[in-house]
Amino acid sequence: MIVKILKACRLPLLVITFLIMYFPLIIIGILSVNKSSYAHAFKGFTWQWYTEIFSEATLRTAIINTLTVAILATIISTALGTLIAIGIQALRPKEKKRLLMLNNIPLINPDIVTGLSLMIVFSFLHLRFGITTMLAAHIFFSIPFVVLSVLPKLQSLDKDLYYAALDLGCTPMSAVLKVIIPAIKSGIITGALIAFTMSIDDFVISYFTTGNGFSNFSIWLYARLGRKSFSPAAYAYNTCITMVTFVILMAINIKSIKSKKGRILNEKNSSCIDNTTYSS
Amino acid sequence: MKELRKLATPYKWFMILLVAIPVLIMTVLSFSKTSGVDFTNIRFTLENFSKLGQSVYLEAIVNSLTLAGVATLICLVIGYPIAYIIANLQTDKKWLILVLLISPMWSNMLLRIIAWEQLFKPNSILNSLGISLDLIGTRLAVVIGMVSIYLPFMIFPIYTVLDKMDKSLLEASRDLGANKLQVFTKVVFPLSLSGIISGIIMTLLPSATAFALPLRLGGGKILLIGNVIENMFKKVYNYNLGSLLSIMVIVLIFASMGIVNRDKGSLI
Amino acid sequence: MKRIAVVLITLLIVASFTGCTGTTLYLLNWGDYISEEVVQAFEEEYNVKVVMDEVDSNEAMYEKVKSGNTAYDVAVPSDYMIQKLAVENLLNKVDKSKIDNLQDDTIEPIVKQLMQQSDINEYAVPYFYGCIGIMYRNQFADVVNQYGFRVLFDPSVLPEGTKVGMYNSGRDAVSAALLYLGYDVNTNDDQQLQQAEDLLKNMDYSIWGDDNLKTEIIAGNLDLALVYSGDFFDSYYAVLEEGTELEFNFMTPLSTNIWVDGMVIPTTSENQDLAHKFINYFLATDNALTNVAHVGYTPVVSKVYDIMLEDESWNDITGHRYFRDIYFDENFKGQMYRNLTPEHYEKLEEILLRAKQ
Repeated sequence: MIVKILKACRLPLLVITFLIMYFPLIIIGILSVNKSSYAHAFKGFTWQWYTEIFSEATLRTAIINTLTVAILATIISTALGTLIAIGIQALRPKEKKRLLMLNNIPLINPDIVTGLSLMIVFSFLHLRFGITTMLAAHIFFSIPFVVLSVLPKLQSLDKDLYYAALDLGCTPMSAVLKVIIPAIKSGIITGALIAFTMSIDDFVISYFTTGNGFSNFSIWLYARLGRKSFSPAAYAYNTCITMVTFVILMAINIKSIKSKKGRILNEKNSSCIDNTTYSS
Repeated sequence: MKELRKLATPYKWFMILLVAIPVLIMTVLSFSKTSGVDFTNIRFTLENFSKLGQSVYLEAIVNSLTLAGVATLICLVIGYPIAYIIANLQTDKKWLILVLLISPMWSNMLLRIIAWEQLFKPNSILNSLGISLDLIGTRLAVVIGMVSIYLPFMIFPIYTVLDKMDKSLLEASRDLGANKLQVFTKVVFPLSLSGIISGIIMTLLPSATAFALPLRLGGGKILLIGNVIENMFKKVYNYNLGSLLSIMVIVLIFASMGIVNRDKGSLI
Repeated sequence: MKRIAVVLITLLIVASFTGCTGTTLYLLNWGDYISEEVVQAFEEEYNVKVVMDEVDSNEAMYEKVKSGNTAYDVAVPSDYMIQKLAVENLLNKVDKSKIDNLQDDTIEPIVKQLMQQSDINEYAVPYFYGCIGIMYRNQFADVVNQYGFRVLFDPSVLPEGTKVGMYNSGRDAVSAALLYLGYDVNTNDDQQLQQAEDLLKNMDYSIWGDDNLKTEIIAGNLDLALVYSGDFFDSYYAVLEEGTELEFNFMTPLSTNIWVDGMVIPTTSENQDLAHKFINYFLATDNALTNVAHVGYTPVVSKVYDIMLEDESWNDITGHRYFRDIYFDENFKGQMYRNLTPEHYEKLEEILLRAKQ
C-alpha cells in the first residue's frame, strides 16, 4: 500500500523538491538580466549586469577577496588536515577517539557559535581583524572536513606499505609524502572540494571575524541589501558561478560514465556527502 | 607509526585554543558585567540570568525551536521519500539527479534568501504572472525559506545510508515471507535511522540558529535566537548577555547530542 | 617537500597581503553615504587606497571602534555617538590647523550651532546634517501632512490596510514615539517610555527595517515609513536615474530629531595625517558638491548650498531649500539625541524587542 502511494507520489515529490530548490535560482537568473536595478518589476532585458561584475569596483574587490580566501584556505587546510589525519590515524584508539570528538565540535556547532567563538578569541588576542582573521577562521572550519574525508581512506590503507617504505630507506616524512599521500589522493581531493565550497559560500563566520573593510561576496551583499549601492551584478555573478559548477559537475560525470567508471564516481560522490554528515 | 603521532599534537592545542578557550571566556562573560572582552573592570553578577527570564528572550528561543522544528519536519517528510526514490532508481541517470540536487548549494545562500524575499512581497516580478504574494513577516515565509535552503542537508545523509544498505538483507527478509510494507518498516526504516538523525541535526541546528534568514523573510518582526545574539554582539555591545545566550545554545546542542549518542551508540 | 614548499609560498602570500597597509585609509561609514567618485579622486590625488566599511547604526559603529581590533582612520558617527566615543577616550582631537578648507565661514550657521550644542567641536568636523521624518507614497500625502508622526502610531487615522514601516533601531523607533507624544527624545522617565512602548506595540508594522524601508516605498510594498531625511533624496536621485515616475514624497514634522554627523579620527588610526587630508578633501567646495549630489543630505558647507540655490536644477520645492527652510523655520523644534548611559540604551533596545512580540 505505502509502496504504491510512494510510487504515485514519486513524480509530484520530485517536482516539489526541484521547484523549491530551483525557484530562487530561476529568480536570481531573471533578475540578473533585468534592466531595472530594482527587483520589484521586470523592465526589459539586458546583459549590462554581467559586464558590471568587472566594472563595479567594490563588488570586484569582494569577489577577488572571496576567491583569495577560498583558495588559500583550501590549500592550507587541505595540507594541514591531511597531515593531521595521518597523525590521528597513528594515535592510540582512546586518544584518537578523543581528538576526533574535538575535531567534530566545529562541525556540529552552528555557524553563529563558531563565528562568535573565533571573534572572542581573536579580540582577546588583540588581533587586527581583516584578511588574516577571516582566513584563520576559514582554515579552522575547513580542517575538520578534510580530516573526516581523509581518515576513511587511511583506515583502508595497508600499513605495511608505510613500513616497507621505511625499510627501503625512507625517512618517516618522505614515506608519508611518497607512499601514504598518493594512496589517499581521492580522500584529499574530496576534502579540498568540501573546504573550497564551504569557504566560498560562508557568510556568518566571516561576518563575525572580519573587519577593517575586508569583505567577501556574502558580506558585501549583506551590507548592501535594500541600498542604492546594491548592484544587480551580484545576481549576474551568482548565476555565472551556478552555471560553471553545474557544467563542471556534468562534465565530470559524463566523462566518468564514458570511461565506464560511473560506479566509482558514484561512490566518491556519496563518500563526499557522507563526510559532511558527521556519521563517519 | 608512532613517529607520525606528533603530526596530531599541535592540532590538539590548536583546537583547544579555538574551541575550549572561547567557551571558557563566554562562560566568564555570562557571569559578569564587562565592556566587551576587556576584563579590566570586570564585575561578577547574576543579572544576565535574571534578564534571561524576560519573555522576549524566551519567545526567541521558542520561535527558534518551533519554526526550525516545523521546517525540519517538512524536510523529513519530503526528503525521506526523495532519498528513497533516488536510492532505488534503476537507471544510470541517477548521477544526473544527484548533480541537480547538489548544484543549488553552490549558489550563494544569502542571495537565495533574497530571491525568496523578493517573491514574497506584494509588488514583485511575479505580478507579471498575475500572482501577488504578501508573506514577508509571516512564519510561513520563514519556514519556506528554511525548507528551501536546508532540504539537501536532509536528503543526502538519508540517501547515503539507503544507497549503501546491503540489498541482500532486503532479499533475505522477503525470502522469509515479509511483504513490501514489512520489509520497509522492519528492515529499511530502522537501518536508515542513523541517516535520519544526521539529517535532522544538519537541518534543525542551522535553521534554528540562522539570523539573516529570519531577518529578511520575517521582515524584522520574527526574532530567532540568532537575531538576539547577533544584536547583542553587534549593536547593543552587551557581550555578557550575548555570551549567556550562546552558551545556552551550546549546552542545548550538546545535551541533545548526548541523548542521541546514548540511544544510537557513537554518532559523532 | 613540494607540499611544504606550497605551504611556505602561501604563507608568504598571506604575509604580503597583510604587509601592504602603508598607504591605506580605513573609513568607517554608513551605507550609501559617500560619493565613490570623490573617493576615487582622493585616492588618485594622494596615491592611497581607501578601504570602506559600512554599518547601519551608530551602535554598530561604536562596536567596531570600541572592540579594538580595527584601525579605522576616519569614522562618521552622529552627534551623540561622538560624545560617547570622546568621553571614552576613543577619539583623537581634530587638528583644525591641518584643515585648510575649514574657515570661519565654511560651515552653515545652523550646523555650527548643532556642533556647539552637542559639544563635539574639538573632535569632529561636520559631514552632513538632517532629521528623521516620514517618507510616503503620494496618495497618502493628505493624511501624513495632517497628522505628522501620528500616522506611524495611530491606525485609526489611516485607511484600512495601510502598510507602515518602522526603523529597526531602539533609539529611532522610541524617539519617534516620544516625539509624537510630545516628550523629550532623551527622556529616561519610565512612564513616558512605557507609553512609547505601548504605541510601538499596538501598531502592526509590516516591516522593521533600515535602509530597505525607502526601497520598499519605491516598490510600493510600503505606504509610509520612518526614515532619515537623506533617504528620501537618495531615492529621489535613484528614481530620476532610473527614469521612472516619482511616486513618493517626504514630510518633516516640525518637532523632530535633528542630528549632525561628523568626521572623526578614532584613536585606532595609524595614519592621522592622511585622515586630516581626507577630512579636508571632503570640505572642498567642488568635492562637497559632488558628494551632496550623490548622497542626498543637506550640505554643511555654505558655499555648496549657494551654488545649489543658483542652479536651476537644484532649486525646486522638493529640493534642499525645503529642508533648509524648515531648519530655519521659527516653529521648527529640532531635538538632538544626547549620549545615554548603557543601561538607558539597553532599555530602548529591550523596548524594541518587546514591541515586536
